[in-house]
This record gives sequence, structure tokens and C-alpha cells, in this order.
Amino acid sequence: MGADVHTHAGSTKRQTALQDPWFVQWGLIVAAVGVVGVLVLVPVINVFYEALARGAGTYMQNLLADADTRHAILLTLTVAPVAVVLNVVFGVAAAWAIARYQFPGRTILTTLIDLPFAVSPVVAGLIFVLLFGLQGYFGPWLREHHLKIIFATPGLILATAFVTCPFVARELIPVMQAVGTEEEIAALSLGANGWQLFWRVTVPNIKWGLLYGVILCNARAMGEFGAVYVVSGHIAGKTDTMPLRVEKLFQEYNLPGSFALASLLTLLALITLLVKVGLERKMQADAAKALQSASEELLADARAPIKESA
Amino acid sequence: MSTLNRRILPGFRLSLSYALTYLTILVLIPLAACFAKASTLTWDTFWGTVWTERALAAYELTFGASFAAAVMDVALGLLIAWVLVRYEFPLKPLFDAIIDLPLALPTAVAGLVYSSLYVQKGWFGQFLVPIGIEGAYSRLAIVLVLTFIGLPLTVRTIQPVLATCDDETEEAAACLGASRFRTFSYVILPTLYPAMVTGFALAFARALGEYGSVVFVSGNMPYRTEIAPVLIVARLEEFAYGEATAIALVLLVISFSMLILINLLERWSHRYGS
Amino acid sequence: MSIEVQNITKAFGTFTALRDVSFQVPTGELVALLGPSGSGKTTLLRIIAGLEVANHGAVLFHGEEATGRSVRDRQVGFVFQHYALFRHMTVFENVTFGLRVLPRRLRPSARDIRTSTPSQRI
Repeated sequence: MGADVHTHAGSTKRQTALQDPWFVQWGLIVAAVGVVGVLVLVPVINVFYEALARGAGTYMQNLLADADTRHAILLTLTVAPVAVVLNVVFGVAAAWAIARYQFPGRTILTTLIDLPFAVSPVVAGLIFVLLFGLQGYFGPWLREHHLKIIFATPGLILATAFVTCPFVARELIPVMQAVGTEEEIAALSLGANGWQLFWRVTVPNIKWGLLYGVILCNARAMGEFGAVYVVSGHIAGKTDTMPLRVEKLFQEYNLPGSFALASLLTLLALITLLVKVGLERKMQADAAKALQSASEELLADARAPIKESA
Repeated sequence: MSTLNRRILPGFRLSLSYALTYLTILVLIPLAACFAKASTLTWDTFWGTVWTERALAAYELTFGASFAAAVMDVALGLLIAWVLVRYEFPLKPLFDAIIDLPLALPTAVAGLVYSSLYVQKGWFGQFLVPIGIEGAYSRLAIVLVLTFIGLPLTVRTIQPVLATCDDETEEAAACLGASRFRTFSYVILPTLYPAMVTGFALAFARALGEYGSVVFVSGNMPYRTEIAPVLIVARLEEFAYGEATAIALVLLVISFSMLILINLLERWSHRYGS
Repeated sequence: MSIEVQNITKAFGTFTALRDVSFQVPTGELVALLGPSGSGKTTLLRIIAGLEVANHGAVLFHGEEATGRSVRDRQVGFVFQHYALFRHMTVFENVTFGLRVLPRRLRPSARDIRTSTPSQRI
């Protein structure tokens, strides 16, 4: 087989036969950049502009002086991590079961995990109200035991966990399938038990994929609006998370306050994007290294002298 | 290889039972509650709720706006994916990264900023409102913000397919005398159809359920700019749980159908592509 | 149609695939290029077809300079290593592609394309 010298699509220099005329190239580039600029970039800039429009002093005041806003920030910082942790444990368990074993109903389980994606956030909140609300199926029981789920933090956690449930699992399943079981089986043969195997062998191999799922899950959890809106009763100072507080301030025509809080959320989104890009590079580098070592192994095997069979 | 006898690697029972229990408690039982509640309604009450003028207006708007936004997303997604894969230009990595922002940004922030940009005094509104384009508190506003939300879905579906396009077929078309435009329309674009359809379905499904951003930009006027999720919340605030559940059920059935459709589409496009 | 290549040199970055290659192929002759992997056979063929541009040298068809012509205008038939079939088109559409992308004034009508193609044998 001769060496194939023509370049592949995706390389930086395309053949002259496949190049578009320069005015087509630049016309399309300008159009694409314009679209993304108008739809995505300008809004981001606008958030920070509006937040800081009255000066940095007012900005900090908006965020810290208002007790309800402070509470909203703390509430989001409580609810989201708890939901993320719950979903990480679930995600790891589900990915382990799906990626490592064959069993009847495996495909159904995979589809079930995707189910929350197909449910509108408002409906997600509604179903928890149906279960745990005052007139819900468990309502009387909860009232008897003085437990509050709806219009209280536990409800917020449940609704957020529901909506973000698939993120970690969907990210981990392909990663675990790609990593393969060789190292785990090797560890097993060397006498490791299940947990040692998991912590010492599996987790280090999936750490980037896991982190990727975590940041996506977290970004969604902190930003969730519809489900939390329904479940919280949006009681200011008690059950308003950051996105809900943004909406309340908007309804009260307190735009500077609303934008100040929104800018925090936007900052979070930008940091999520940064971490995401960094993780993607790490995962690509890992994949490239794995490919290289696999091909080096093949090459070494091919060059080894043919041994006489015994 | 993932095809392993479950007895070799430990943890099968533990992981599977935990995953199933969690899913049942968090997802299946609540969803079942929705169906159970809806079934307590008589057939007449159900139809009476689900088929009112106001509800029909809400469905029409939800579907219409989501459809329009998804179409825009496919067109823009194709443009952006093409430019990302085929051309080089300064700051391209930054451009590439920022496309995913709608996925990471809270929908409430998207709604807030879009409503502020397109009102009369907004950065865009000051030019658009005088020429009659109401980009806030209108149906157009809903389509705009839904387009924003769905954009990364179509770009990231089309982009990988475009990146693995075969150079040889394009060269063959050129050898046979086809211009770049004809090569694009006859040779490249047809191979992208499955990805475009899948991207459309993803953006459409996402837009159908969207709430957080739309409540900011639409003005939520019944019969005019009220989407179905807003109607559900309105019913809930009137403590009309049964009615809210009925409409929610309609949305659920449609979303589940979309989920199945998307899975089928992804399978079809895998076959078609290889 | 006779083909002549004169002093073709082609380098990819620091790797020189062809250095000062010249030969003539008279009309009607069948010529085979033989050589070990990496000797530049594919590159030379692609330069003749117009799919690559040589760093130096000229390609002539029937004694006329073709070096500046785009691949579309060279009318060189090229068989690709991996067949390069248009997978989303039928066999008929694959075979008649070249006719269907002719400029409008030269393009035969759809009926002519159909009747002139021995489709019974496809």
C-alpha cells in the first residue's frame, strides 16, 4: 500500500481543487461571526455592561446589601452542589452497570436515563408538587410529621436533581466504555477487591470525563429555573434561588439588581466554558496518547522475530 | 470490551440496584404521579381543559415558535459548522468555544438580556423598533431567544459529520467538472441531511419545553404570547392541579415521542453515514 | 491527447515528493508508473489532473500549457484509490454525474442523458 499523500479534511491547508473562492470564504466567515456575535457575544457583553452601568460601588451593593439577594446566592450554592453530588453517585453507579455488564433491559435503562431531558422543567416541578404538595399523594403524611418538601429546600434539591440527572451518567458511559476493562481485570487478578479496584484503577482513568460531567451538571443545576420556580413557591428570602431572584428583581423593575445577579451567573457560565475547553483538550490528549501506545504495541509485535512453535 | 460475564467484575448488583432505585424514586414515581393524577379526571374534564381556546393558542405558539427556531438553528448551525471546519481565521478557537455558551448560561439570564437588548431603548431595539421589528414582548422575541438556546445543539451535531467528510468524493466531483457550488449542493449537502435532521429534532425538543427564558421576553399575554408551560404555571397558581396536570400530560406525551424520534433518527443517521 | 510534464518539483513542507520530473506520453499510448511506496506516483498523477499544484514545472496537454487550468477545466478522468463513489446517489446518478454538472449551455437534456446511457446494463 503506497503512502497516501493527500491531506485529510480538517487539516489547515486544503487542496486548491477543494478551496472556495476567497470572497466566498470571507463572506461566510463574516456572516458566521456576525451571527454568533449578535446572538451570543453581544448579550454577554450587555449583561456586564448593565450590571456595572452605575459603577462598581452600586454593583457590590446590589449583590451584598440586599438580604434576599444574599440569601439567594447562598441557597443556590447549597442546592446545586447537593444535587450534583447525588447525581454523581448515581451517574457512576449507572455507568458502571451499563458499561461493564450485559444484562436484559440494558437499553431500556439507558433510555430511562435520558427521560428527564424529555420533560419540560415546569412539568418536572409539577410532578413533585403532585407528590409532596399539601394536596399531594404524600402531603398529609408530610404534614403529620412536620416535614416540608415543597416550598422548602428539599423540594428545590429534588427538582434540581431530577432535571440534571442524566448529565453525569451520559458523560461517563462512553468514557468508561472507551477506557476498557483490562486494567480493572488486571487489578482483580492481583487481588484487589471491588472498592480498591474502583478507587485506584477506575476513577483515575475516568477522572476527566467525570469532571466534565460534573461541571455541565453544575452549570445546569445552578441555572435551573422552571422546575425550581414551580416547586419553590418563590418565597423571597426563603426559597428563591439565584435565577428566581433575577426574575423577581426583574418583575420589581429593579434592573440594576437583576443584572448584577445575572452577571454572577454569567461569570459562572464563562468559567464553566473555560474549564470545559480545558477538559476537552485533556481528554483528546489522553485519547491520542492511548492510540499512540496501542499502535506502538502493534508495531513492536509486528517486528518481533517469529518464534518457533514448541 | 464491555461484554463481560457479570461475575468477573464485582459490583454488578450494587451498581445496578442503586441506579434503578435512584431512578425509580427520583424519576419514575414522580412521572407516574402525573399520569395517576391525570387519570382521576373524567374524559370530559380532561378534554375540556386540554382543548380550550387558550390552551390551543398556547400549543400553537409553542409548536410554531419552536419549529421556527429549530429551522433557524439548522440554517445558522450549518453556516457556523462549515466555517469552523473548512476555514481558518483569527480568534477561531475563541469563536468555537463561545458557541457552547447557550448550553452553560442559565435560561433566566438569557431571557433577561434578550428582553433588554430588543426593547426600544436597548442596544438592538433602538435600531429595530423604529423600523417596526419588535424583538421583545412579541412572538418574534420568543423565536429569537429559542434560536439562541438551540444553536449549539445544531452546530455540534453537524460539525463532526462535516469534519469527517471524504476529500476524495469532492475531488472526484471537481475532476468531473462540477463547480464548488454544485459540489456543495449535490455532493456535500446530501451527506449532511441526517445530521441536519437530528440537529433539528434536538433543537425542536429543547425549545418545546423551554420556560425560563421565554417568561422574560414574551410578556406572557394569553392567546398571544403565552406558551404552554406558562399556561401550566398559571393553572398551578390557581390551585387547579388537575387541569395543570392535564396540559402537562399533553406536553409529556409529545416530548416522549420526540425523544423516541430522536433516538430513531440517530440510529438512522449512523446507518446512512456508514 | 498527449501529456507532457516538464521539470515538475513538488514538496510538502520539508519533504520533497518529486524533484525535476519530466517525461512525455504520446497520444494513444498506455503508460504505467512503477515505483516503491512514497516515490511520488500518486502525487504526480494528482498534479497532472490538477488536484495538486507543483512548486515548479509545467504540464502540457497536446502541447498546450495546462498548468494554470483548474481541475474542472482539464477534462482529465481520474480513478481514485478508494473509488470515491457518491454514496447518496444511485448508480445511474453516479455514472451521469459528469454530464449533469456541465454548464447549462453544454448540458444535454435529461431525456438525452437517460436514453444515451446504457442503463440496461447497470
